[in-house]
Amino acid sequence: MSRKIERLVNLTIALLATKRFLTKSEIFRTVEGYEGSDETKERMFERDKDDLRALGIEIEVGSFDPVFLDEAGYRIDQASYQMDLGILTPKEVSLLSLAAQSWQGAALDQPAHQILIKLRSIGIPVDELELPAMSSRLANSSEDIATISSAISEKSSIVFHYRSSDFQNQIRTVIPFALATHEGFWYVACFDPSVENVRIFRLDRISGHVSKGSINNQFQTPANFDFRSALTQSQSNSVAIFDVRKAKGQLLRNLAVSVKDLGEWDQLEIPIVSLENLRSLALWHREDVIVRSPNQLIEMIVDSLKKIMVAHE
Amino acid sequence: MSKSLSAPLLRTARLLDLVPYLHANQGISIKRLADEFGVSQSQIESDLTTLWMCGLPGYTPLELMDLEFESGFVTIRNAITLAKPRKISFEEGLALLLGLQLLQQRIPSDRQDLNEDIDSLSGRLSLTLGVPKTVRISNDLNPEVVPRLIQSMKGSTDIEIVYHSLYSDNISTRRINPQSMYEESGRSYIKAFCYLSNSYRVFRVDRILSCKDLDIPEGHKSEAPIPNMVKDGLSKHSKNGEITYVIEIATVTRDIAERFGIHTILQEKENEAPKVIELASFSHLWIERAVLASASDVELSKPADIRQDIYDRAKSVLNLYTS
Repeated sequence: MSRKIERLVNLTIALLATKRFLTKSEIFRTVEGYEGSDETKERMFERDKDDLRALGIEIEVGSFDPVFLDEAGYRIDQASYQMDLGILTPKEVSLLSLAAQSWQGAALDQPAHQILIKLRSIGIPVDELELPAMSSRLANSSEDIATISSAISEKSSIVFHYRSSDFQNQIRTVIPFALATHEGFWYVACFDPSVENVRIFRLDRISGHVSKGSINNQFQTPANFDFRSALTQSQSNSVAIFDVRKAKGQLLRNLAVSVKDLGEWDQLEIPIVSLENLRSLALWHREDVIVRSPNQLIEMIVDSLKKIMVAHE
Repeated sequence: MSKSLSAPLLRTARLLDLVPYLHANQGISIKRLADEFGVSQSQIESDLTTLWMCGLPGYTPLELMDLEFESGFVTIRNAITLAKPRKISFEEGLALLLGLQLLQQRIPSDRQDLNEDIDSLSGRLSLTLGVPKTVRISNDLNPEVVPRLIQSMKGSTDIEIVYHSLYSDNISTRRINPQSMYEESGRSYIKAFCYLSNSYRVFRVDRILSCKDLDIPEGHKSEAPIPNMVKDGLSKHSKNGEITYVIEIATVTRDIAERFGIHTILQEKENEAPKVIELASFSHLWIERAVLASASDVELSKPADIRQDIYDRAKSVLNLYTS
C-alpha cells in the first residue's frame, strides 16, 4: 500500500514541478513506481488520476503543440493546487483559526481540523487576539449541512425523509437554495417541484440523512428571498386577537404585529399560521391569556379545556 | 470529502499536508506532530519514512526530500514544490465561512474593527470557493446584548439584565456577573453570578431582553464570589428536585414529540396505544404548562398533585371563556 501512496506523492510532485505538459511516456519513464506491462501502467495511471481528483487536485490535460494535437500531456497548476486567499495578515490568520475552532466537536469538526492544519502551515505567526475563550457547539449541528450547502452551489436536488406534523415520515425531493439558522434551529429553503412553490424545512425534523439528487440547471434561485422574514412573517393576512395580562406572555408579544393598551391587559394581534399552534400557546399561558377571535380558535380552546378536565378528573 | 476517502487516500492527503506543515514548523517534535494530525506517533514516523522516499524525478539524494527525525524532532529541506498548503476544500471553506459568521456575533464592543477584517475574509472565501451567500448561520441573539455581555466577561464587571423566565413567565431585572458563555443544543447560555438569587445561575441569552452597564467607578471589580467548581457542575442538572411524571398520549403529533423530547421513545412504542411514557423534569410548572399546551392529546397520569393542578387550572381558564 505504501508504494501506491509513494507513487501518488511522487506523481503530484512531478506534475507540480513541471512547467510544460508531461506526456504519459515521460511520466512512466521518470516517475518512480510505474512498473509492469504498458497496459498495467496505463491502468495504474488512470486510477492515480482519479485518486488525485478525489483529493481535490486538478490535473490539467493539454498538448505541447497546439497545431499538431499529438500526444496529450499532463501537469498540475501551482495556483490551483495551493491555498489562495491573497495575502493574509497575522490578524486575519487568527480570525480564521478562531472561526475553525468554533466547530470543535460539532458538525464540521473534521474539515475544520484540516483547515487549522493548513492555516498553521502558511508560516504566518498568529496575532494573539484578546477575545474571551468561548466553547461553541453550533446550532443543531448536522452532517447534512455540508451536503446541503454543496447541493445549493451545484444547483442539485436533495432527497430526505421528513417528519410531518402528524409524526409520519414522508420522502421529499426538493431543490435547496438557502440554508440558515433561526432561534437555535437550522432551516433549509427549497423549491418543491411537486407544488411548484418554496418550502422551508427544519433540519432536526429530517430523519436519516440527506442525499444529493440530480443537477438541475434550469432552476433559478428566487430573487430577493429573505430567509428571516420568510420565517418570522407569516404570509397570512388573518390575525387572531389575544388579550394578555401586563408583563406576561413574552412569547406571544414576540409574535404580535400590534399591541393595544387595555389597562390591566394588553390586546395583541397575532398572525394566524396554524390554529393548533395558537391553541397550544394560549393554553400554555393559562389564565394570563384570553383569546377574543377568531371564533374557531375559541371553540378549539374551550373544547380542549373540557376534554382536559374530563381526562384529569 | 474526507469521510468517503479510502485509507490510502487519507494517508496520501496527510503526507501532502505534512510537507508544508513541517516547512512552517521546523524542529517540531514527533509527539506534537502526532497530536496536530490526530494520529499515533508511530503512524507519523511511518509517514515520515514514506515521505523520505519521495521527491522529484531522478530520485537521487539531490532530488529527494531531506527529512531528519531520528532525534524525535523533525526538520525538512528540499521540498519546495510542496511547501505551500493545499487549496481549501468546499467543506473546509464552509467551516471557515460559518465560523466567521458566528465569530462576528461575539466580537466585544471595543473590537468592532475586527468586523471589517471578517467581512473581507468572508468575501474572499465566498468568491474562491463558490460557497453560496445564501448559507447563513446566526444565533439570532440581540446585537445589543452579546457584545455587552462579552465586554463584561472580559473586564469581570457586573451588568444589569432584564430577563424573561419562561416557566414562570416573569420578567425580572437582575444584576449579574457573567462568567462564561456556551452553546448547547443550538441555544446560547451564559453562566453568571446573580445578585438577585445570590447564587450562580444559567441564563439563556435569547431570553435576555436588554442589558445595561452599571454605574460603577473605574477599577471597581465585581463582588461576585469565586465560583465553586464542584457545585457549579451540578447547578444546572442537580439530581435533587427532579420530578418523575407519567404521560399517556392518545394521538401522537410532531409537536408533542418535540415538546417532550421523545422522538426515540415514540418510535420504539410505535405499535402501542395509548403510549404510556415515564419522564422527568425539574419544574412542576413546566409539566403543568406542557400538558395543557398539548390540548387534549396528552394526559398526565402521575403525579397526582400536578394532575389535580391541571384539572383546577383547566376549570379556571374555562371560566374565563364561559362566564
